[in-house]
Amino acid sequence: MKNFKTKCYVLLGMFAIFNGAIAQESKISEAKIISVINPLQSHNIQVGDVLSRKIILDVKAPYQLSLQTLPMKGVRHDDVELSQISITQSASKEGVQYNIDLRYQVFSAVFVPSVLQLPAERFALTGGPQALSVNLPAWKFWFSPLAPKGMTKARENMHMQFKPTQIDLQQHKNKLIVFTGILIVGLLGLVYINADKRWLPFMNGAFAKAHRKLKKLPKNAEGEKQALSDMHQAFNQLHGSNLFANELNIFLTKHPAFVKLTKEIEAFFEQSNQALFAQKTQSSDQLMADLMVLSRRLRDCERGV
Amino acid sequence: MSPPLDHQLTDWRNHALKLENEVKKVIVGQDKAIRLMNIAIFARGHVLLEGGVGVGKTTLLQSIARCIGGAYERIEGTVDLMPNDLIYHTYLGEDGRPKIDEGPLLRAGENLSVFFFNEINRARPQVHALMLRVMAERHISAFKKEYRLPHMVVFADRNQVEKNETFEIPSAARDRFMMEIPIEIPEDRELRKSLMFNVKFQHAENLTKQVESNVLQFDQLNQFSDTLQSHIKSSPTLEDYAIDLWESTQSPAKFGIKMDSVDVNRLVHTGASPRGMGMLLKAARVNAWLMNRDSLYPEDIHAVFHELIAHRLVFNSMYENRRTQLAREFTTQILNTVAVPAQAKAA
Repeated sequence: MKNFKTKCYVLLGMFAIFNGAIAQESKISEAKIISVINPLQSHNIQVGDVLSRKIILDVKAPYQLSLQTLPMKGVRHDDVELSQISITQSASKEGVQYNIDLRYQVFSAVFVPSVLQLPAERFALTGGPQALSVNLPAWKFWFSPLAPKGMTKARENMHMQFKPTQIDLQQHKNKLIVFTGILIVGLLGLVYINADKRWLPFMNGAFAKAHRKLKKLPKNAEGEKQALSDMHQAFNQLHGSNLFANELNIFLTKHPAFVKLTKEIEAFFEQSNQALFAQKTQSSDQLMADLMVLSRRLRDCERGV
Repeated sequence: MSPPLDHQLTDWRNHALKLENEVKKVIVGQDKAIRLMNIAIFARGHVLLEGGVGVGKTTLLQSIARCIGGAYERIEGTVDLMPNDLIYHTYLGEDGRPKIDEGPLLRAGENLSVFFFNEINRARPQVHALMLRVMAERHISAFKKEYRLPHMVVFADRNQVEKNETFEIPSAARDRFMMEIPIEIPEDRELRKSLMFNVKFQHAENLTKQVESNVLQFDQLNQFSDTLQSHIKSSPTLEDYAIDLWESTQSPAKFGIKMDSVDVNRLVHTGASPRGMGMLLKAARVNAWLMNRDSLYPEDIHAVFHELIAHRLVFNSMYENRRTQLAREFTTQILNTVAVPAQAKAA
C-alpha cells in the first residue's frame, strides 16, 4: 500500500512537471511581452526615488489579462514599494495589447551601497482553456545611501572594484586591419589617379609635368602660348624628338596607350597650328580649359589608368 | 581686270596639282621629287638634280617642261664644253660659208621655260660661271644685243658618285640653286617590276607625249609667284623657328644637335646663307599654298628643308666624301631637335 502511495506521488509529481511544461509553452504562444522599458540608470539611486517600468504585453484572444491578480499597489519587496500601477489596453481582432505602467519607490535606509531590485512580477491570463501567466523578470540596481552611518572613514564604504569582463576584440581587430588596408589601397589609387605631385612612382611623366605647369598659367595670350609650348614639349619628350602633326601615326604606333585619344591629339595639333602659326584669334579661356582637360587625359593614358 | 585673289589662288592651285598628276602618269615612284619640282617652279627657283644614270631624270624634266609650256632646251656637260657653246654655234651653210647661230641658251629667247644642264659637274668652271650668272640675272648680252630669259628655270644634273673628270661646283655656285633634289630608284618592288616589264616605260619619247601640254601658262608664273609669296603669312612664332633653324645650321652645338657618326662641331664649316634661308621660306610658302593654307606651318618648312639646305652647307674637307649621307643625317637631326615653339622664348 505504502509502495502504491509512493508511486502515486511520483506520478503526480511527473504530471505536475508535465503540466507546467505545457503551461510554459502556452505562455510563449498565447501572450508575449513586446517590450520592457526599465529605468535608464541602474546606479546612484537613492531613498525616495521613483523608478518606473513600462511593459507592453500582447495577449491573444480568447485570453486576457486578469486584472484581479495584478500586483497590488503598496506591496513592498526588500524596501522597494509598488507605489502605482496603471493599465491601458487596446483591443484588436487577434487580441488585446496592454500597456502596463509600474512605479516603484525606494525606501531602503541602509548605509552602505547595496544591490536592490524591482521585483519580478507575474501577470496571470484568464479567459482561455488553460491557466497561463507571463513572468516579468526582476531588474537589479545599485542603491546609494545619502550618507554613511556616523562619522567613518571613506575607505570603509568603498567596495571592491571588479575588473569588467573583457569582450573578445580579435574579430573586430581583424576587420579593422582588412578595412584599413582596403582604405589605404583605395586612397593610394585615388591619389595615383588624381594627384599632381610627383611623390609616387610613374607620376613624373611628361604629361603629368605639363598638366602641373598648365594649372599655374594665367588665362591670357602669354599663358596660352606657354601652355601650347608645354604641351608640345611633353609630346616631344615622349616621342624622343620634335613631333609634328604629320608624324602622329609614328607616335601612336610607338605609344599605343594614346591611341584612344587620337582625335583629340589631332585636334590639339590643328588648334596649336591655328594659334601659333595662323594667328587665328581664339578664346584663351576656352583654349586653356581644353588644354587642361587634354593634358589630364593624356596624363591618365601615360599612367595607364 | 584680273580675277579676285581667291579665284587666282584656287585656279593656279588646281593647275599645279594637275601638273603633278599628269607627270605622275608617266613617272612612277617619284612623287616627292615631282612635288618638290612643282614647288621650285612656283617659287621660281633653279634646281640641281642628283641621281644615278637611267633613273628617269630626263623624262621627268621633259614631262614637266611639256606641262609648263614654253621652250625646253638641253645641253650636256663635258670636260671640253666652253661658255660660248651655250651662246652660239658655228656651222657651214648651204652656200658653203661659215655661219653663226644662237646656242641653246638663246635659241628660244623669252620663250625658254626649262633649261636642262645635264651633268653640270663635268663642265669646266668657266661654264659654271656663265651659267650661274644667267641663272641669277636671267639676261645675257650676245650678238650686240641683250637677251632676256625671264621665265627660265634651270634644272641641272650632277652625279655625286662618279668623280673622275668632274669639277666640283663651288659652294657659292651651289647656293644659286634653290634645291638639290635626289632622284632615286623606287624601292617598291612592284614599281621596279613595272619599270622593267611594262613596255610603256621603254619609249621615253612616247611616254612624254602622254602628258598634257601647257597645263600652266609659263609666261604668267613670275607674276603669280609674287602674288602667292605676298599672300602667305608667317607668324612671329614661325619666324623665330626659322631663325632657330638657320642658327642651328651655323652653330649646331648651341641647339644640342648631335650626330651618331661625327662630332657635329667639327662637321660644319659654314651654315646656310641668308639667300638660302630666303629661298627656304619662299619654297615653304609655295608648299603652304599647295596645302590650301594662307599661313606658314613648320611642316611647310620641313617639306623642303633638306632639299633647300643640304647642298648649301659647307662641311670640313675631311667629311666632303660622305656629304650626301652626312647632310641627310644633319638636316634630320636639326628638324628633330630644334623645338617649336622655342621653350625659352615662349617662357
